Parts: sequence; C-alpha cells; structure tokens
Amino acid sequence: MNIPRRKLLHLLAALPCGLRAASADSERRYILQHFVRDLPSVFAPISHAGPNWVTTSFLFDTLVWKNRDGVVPLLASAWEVSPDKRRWTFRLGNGARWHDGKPVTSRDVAFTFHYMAEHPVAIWSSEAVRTLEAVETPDERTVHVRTKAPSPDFLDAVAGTAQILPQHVWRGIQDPVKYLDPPAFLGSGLFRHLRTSRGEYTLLGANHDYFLGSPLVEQLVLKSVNNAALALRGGDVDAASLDSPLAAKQFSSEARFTVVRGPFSYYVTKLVFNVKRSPFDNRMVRQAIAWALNKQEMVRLALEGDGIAASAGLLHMDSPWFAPDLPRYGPDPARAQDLLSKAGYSRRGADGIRVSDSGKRLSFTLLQTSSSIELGRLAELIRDQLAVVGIQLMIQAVSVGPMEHLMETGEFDLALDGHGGTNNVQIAASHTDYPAQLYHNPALDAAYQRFTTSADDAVRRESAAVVQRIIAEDVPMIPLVNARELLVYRRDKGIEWFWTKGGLGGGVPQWWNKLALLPRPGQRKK
Amino acid sequence: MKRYATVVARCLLLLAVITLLNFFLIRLVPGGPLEVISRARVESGAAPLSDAERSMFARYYGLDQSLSQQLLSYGGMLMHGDMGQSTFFRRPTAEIVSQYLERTLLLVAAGLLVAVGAGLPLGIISAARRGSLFDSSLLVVEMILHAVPPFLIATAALIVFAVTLHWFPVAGSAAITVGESSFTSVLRHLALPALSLGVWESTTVYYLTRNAMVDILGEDYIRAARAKGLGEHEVLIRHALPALAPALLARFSVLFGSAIGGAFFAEQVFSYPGIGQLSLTAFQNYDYLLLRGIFLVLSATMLAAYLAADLWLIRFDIRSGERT
Repeated sequence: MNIPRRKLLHLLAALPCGLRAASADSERRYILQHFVRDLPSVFAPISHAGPNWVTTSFLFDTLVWKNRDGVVPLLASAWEVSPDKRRWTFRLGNGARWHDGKPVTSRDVAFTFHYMAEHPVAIWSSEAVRTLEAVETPDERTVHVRTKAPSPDFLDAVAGTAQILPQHVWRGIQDPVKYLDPPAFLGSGLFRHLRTSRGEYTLLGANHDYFLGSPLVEQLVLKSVNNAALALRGGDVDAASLDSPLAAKQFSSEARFTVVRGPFSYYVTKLVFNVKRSPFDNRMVRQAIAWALNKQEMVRLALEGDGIAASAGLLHMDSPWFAPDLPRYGPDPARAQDLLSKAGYSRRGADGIRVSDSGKRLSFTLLQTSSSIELGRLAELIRDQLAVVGIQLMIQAVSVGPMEHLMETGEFDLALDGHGGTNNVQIAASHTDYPAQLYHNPALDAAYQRFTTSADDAVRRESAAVVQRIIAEDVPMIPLVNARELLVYRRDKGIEWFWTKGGLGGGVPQWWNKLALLPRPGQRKK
Repeated sequence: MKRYATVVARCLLLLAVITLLNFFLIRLVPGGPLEVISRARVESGAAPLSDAERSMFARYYGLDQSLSQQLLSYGGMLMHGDMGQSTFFRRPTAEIVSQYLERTLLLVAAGLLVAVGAGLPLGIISAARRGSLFDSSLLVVEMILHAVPPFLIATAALIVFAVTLHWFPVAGSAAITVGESSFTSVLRHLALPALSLGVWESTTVYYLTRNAMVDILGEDYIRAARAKGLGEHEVLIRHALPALAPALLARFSVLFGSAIGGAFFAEQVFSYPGIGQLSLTAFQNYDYLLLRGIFLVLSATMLAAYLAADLWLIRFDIRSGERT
C-alpha cells in the first residue's frame, strides 16, 4: 500500500475521531460475547455445535421456541399430538416471511425435514428427523408429521431445534456443507446476516418485517473475545456470560452493570472410571471412592461456593425427569476405608498407599483436560481427598481430542470429564460413552428403551428413575459438581436477558434467547 | 552464482522435509475430528455421533482412506498448488490461511517497526557510551523487559490503555462494519498488539545492535579513523554504521521468527484473529488439512526470511570481495 506522508498524518490524526465514530455506532448496536469462528451455517458439522446453533437461531426460526418457563409458539401458532404420540399437527401462524419477502409455508417445513434427512450433516436434529415416517401438507399452513415410533420428545428434538429453511433457496443445493453463498443465510428470523469476519464477529441487521415485531436493536453483533470480563469493562461487548464467580462478583458493585446469577448449569463435571480395568471393575472400589469424595468442599474451593454437588444419578435437579430419592454418598472416609478393606485392599504401605494381598498398590493416573482453572483445582482436590483413604493419584493434563481417544480406547484409569445435556435422560444412557465410557449394563439399556418408546408418562417417569438409580448404585462414574451460570450485561442498553429453562432448543445451556430482543408490551426501542 | 543456487536448494529441501514431518506429526496426536464433533454435540446437550454418522463423516472428509493414500493425495494436491479444503471452515485452506496470515504479517511488520525504531538507536547510543551511567541503566531496564513474558506486557497494555483509558479497543482486528474496514480502524486495532510486541522485541534488537556495535567500535579501522583525528560522530556515522548492517541482517531471520512467536501471544491477549488464533482453532478441531497448510505456510515464510538474509549476505560478501 502506497500512502503519501500527508495522508498518513491525516489518518493518524483521525484516530480519536475513529473513537467517536465507534461511540455513535454503539448507540445502534448491541454486542454479545459469543463464540464466532465461521460463517453462520445451519450445516456446519465441525463448528462448535451449541454456539453455532444459537448464532443461526437469530437468522432462522423453528416451529416452536422456549421462553423462560417453557415451550411457546414461533412459526407454528398451534399444535396437537395424537394420544399414541406418533402424529403431530402444526398450524403455521400468519405473517412469517423470509428475508426476501416470500411467505413461509408448510411446504418449506416439509422440505426442511426431507432435506435434513437426506443430508444428515446438520449438527442438530438431523438424527431426529430420520425418525419421521411421513410429512404431509394439506394446505399452506398445516403440517402433519407421522413418526416411526412414539415420539413424546418431538417438540424438543425436532420442532424446537430444526431451523426451517426456505425451499426456494435450498432446493437445488447438492452439498449443503459447502454452500456458503449469501442466500445460505437467508432465513425468516429476527435478524438478517450482514457480515461475518471469520474468527472475529458476525454482524446482523434488524428484520423490521419480523412477524412478532421489530427487534429492540438495529444491529446485533456476536463477537469472539478471549477475556469476557475485560471486554465488558473496555466497552467492547455489552453482555457476556462469565465462567468465574470471582470475575462476576467484581461487577456486582457497579451501577452500570447487571449481574444475573442464573441456575446451576446443566454442565456437569464427573469422575469417570475405567470399568474394564482392575480395580475399577469392582463396584465396591467405585463406591468407596464415592464415599471418600467431599463434593461440598469441591464447590467451596473450586467454584468459590457458587455451585452444587451433582446428583449421583447424573440428571440435573431441574430436569423434569429428575429422581430425588437416590443414594447419596460421602464424605465418609471411614466408610470408604471399610469398603476398600472388604475389596481386598486392607494393608497400607510405608508411604500410606493401600496395597492388596497380591501386592497391587492403589496408585493411578487421573486424566484431566487442561481447559480451565476450575478443572485443575478439582483434580487437585480429588487427589488430596483420595490420599486420605490411601489412594494415590498422579494428575495428567491432556487436551480434549487425546482425552476422548484415550477414554474410548480404554487407555486410562480415571478421567475428570464433563458435558452438558443433563436435563435429558438421553445423556444418561443413550450411547456407549454415556453415562461412562466402556460401561455397559443391559438393565440400564432396557430401562432407557422403555423410556424412549413409551407414550405413557407414568411409565416414562418410572423408567427415568430406574436409569438414575442404576447409575447411582453401580457408580460407573461420579457426577461431581454443577457450577452456576453467570451473566453480566450493561444496564443502559435496555435489553434484559433471562435464562431459558431446559436450555435453548434441545438443551443448549446459553443465555442468548432471541425473545429478549423483542419489545415487551409497552417497551420502546432505545 | 553457485552459492546462490546452494542456498536456494537447501531451503527447498528443508521445506520438503518439514512438509513430510508436518503430515505425520499431526497424525501422531491421539484423537481426530470425529471425536471433536461428537464432543461438541454432547457438550451442547445433543446426542453424540452414532456409528452410522461417524462412518458418514469419515467418508465425507476422506478420513476413511489409509494414511499412505492420504499422503499421496496430499502430495498430488500440493503439486497443483492446492492445499485442500479445511474441514472446519469448508473453504480452500489457502484462502483461509492467507486471510489470517495477512493480519499476522501486518502485526509482525508493525511490531518489528516499533522494535527497530526503539532498539536500534538505543543500542547504538548504548554501545557508543559503553560503561557510562546511561549504558548501565539501559542494560538493566532492557534486561528486565527481556525477562518479562510477552503476554504480561500485552496484558498490562490492554488493562491500562484499552480497559481503563478506553483509548484503544480490547479485541479484534478492525471496526465492525458491513463494508470494508477503514485504514484508521485497522490502525486503532493494530496499535496495542503491535506496541506490546514491539516493546518486547525491541530488547532483542537492542542487544543485537549493542553487541555488534561494541565489536565494530573495537575494530582496527575504527581506531585508525579515530587516530586520524575524526570526531566520534563522524566515526560512528561514516565507518561504524555501514558495518552494522550485515551483522544485523545475519540475525534478521532469528528476529523475524521470534516476532512471529511473540505475535501469537499478542493475538491471544487482544483476541486478534491472526495465524496463532487460527492454529488454535485448527488444532482444537483436528482440522488436519488446515493445520498442515498453516505449518507449511509458516515454514515457507520463515525459510523465505532465512533465504532473503542469506542471499543478502552473499551479495554483500561478493561486493566486499570486489572492493578488496
């Protein structure tokens, strides 16, 4: 670039003006701290699943949505389900239009379900739409869906997660993964896509023709920042969810910020046993460790007191399927030591580590992902608490990919792991990796099967309770803690964020519910 | 001519070896993109990948081929100047890498400008006044600065100038805009990362300059110039400075490499979307083709810097030879 010296001086002098221009922009904009790496495609198989889905939720609508209490209409104004939970009927409301002005019809809905089933690369709901047997559209506004088996979770699994695509855009697209031309972002949502700078931000513009009303902000920016607390203070973002209770506390004394202490997260941190490897193939040893651990101390020291001890049955206490009367463990080191003695580890060596009669020492490696300070602290606390009962742990930090590999191939003793989705029974038993890698229990599978195929709520509730009881008693892993969801936002911007019960869509544990950007009755645009 | 050819051939051979190493080293890391997809789904509350989905994704990304088949097809693609498709971004790797590399090179160039602007004159003055209070004090200051990790300098700059004084933005590479970003906004976003990098790198420039200058000022021809009655300024400008250039050039590639490393820290602190941030994304998502592309381009860039410095030195030597 060849810039004359005079022009360069002029530009340098204009730097403070750039600052003023930025201030003018900020009047029209709302900036969210959000994970942005790529263009906001519905078909982004490797982009981080939940955050990417939240981004596209601003551009595309689903049939139903959730407010702070539960499911509410969106594209569908009404719906009904047959008693056998296999036939769902949705009535589309009047007025929803694509960003190019064309009306959203039942044909678009049917097309989306067929297209997602044919191209199963949408990270969400593609698996679920393949359970559909038939989709019929008797008129422009009615959609009949018949499923292969009873689908009591259809609202969460499909109607609330499958983002409806415009048929006139996607009809001829053979490879949706690589389709990233501007029409790929044309939806019916509250915002239109204006620009994405990869790794940096996605800029969205208000859709003033939105059928539920014009959004409260002219532009919405989803911005990647590595330090959310500093970005809030520096005015680079207007709202951010924070991982650290300590960081959130620093904002609570400032009038210009609102700190929201949300519910305890669906994200659970858990200690996973390699149940195929001795001595963790012995349930007594696993239970002994459960009795030795002090989860309250973990909450106090690793989460600054802002969390809860997780349920032994893995499901979150806010889940509609949560079973409250499960066994509770620890902290009871005496009981843990008694169980270890019964399991054949009655002697202690000179270094205090328990030894079996055959000379096997209770000394193991604990794998831990190096993704957060809290995880590091938890690993150290587990090591210290188990040392009291004569178990030695060596902590080994690894990144996520290698950890997944080591756990899947069974090359580990113990692993400190974590995941979301604990409001769904699926997470407890749906896959060989869950509730714990390498763990298999036919009784658990049978209970889960009953849960997924029954249309009777009482049978489902009882089956969900059996799933949790088996996990709590058999202890293939120990759910440790759920941290609190924390949010900080600028008060003067006029947007009040709220937590969505059950998580967005199928359970994305994020704050950014688009309904917060719609005017409430009597509210004016800033 | 033969010396030029030898240097170029050595660089090309090195590049080939690095490319081969990159291919295998990345695959030695346990895990893969399918684990990452599955993990990302579960962390968000969705079901993990089923076996059928795993096979489908493996086929889609060519991960079902043997390693030797993948190496052959990668070699074939490189012959045609194609670095393949990034699995994460679903765009040609070359397009993604060039987009991010452009920002990093801008940051490195600006950082080096600051580093040379500060380190070079200070190094010269320090050498010229060797043993003085100024020299000793500066040595201590530079030693402290050199010992401070670059991310600490960057974080301090971020907290003071962006978070507290609001003079500069906290994150990003340019203003958020629908159209192309203005030059002014690019400068504003570049200023703090470049200054942090520059301050940290300036210590290296300072030491290089000072040490080289001390050696030069001890040479016989400098003593002869002084004996002829030339003033210290004249000795410095007419005789010492021209000799400094090759000494610094010989170390330019080291400085460049160190600046690229420093830029990675600055990118992380300032959320500056450069090649360091891209490497992190590629690694976290096991985007093999993108990782290979990044390593290849970075290696080529570093080798180009080495090559440029080597060729320059050869040219200088020849000219010296002609003079003598």
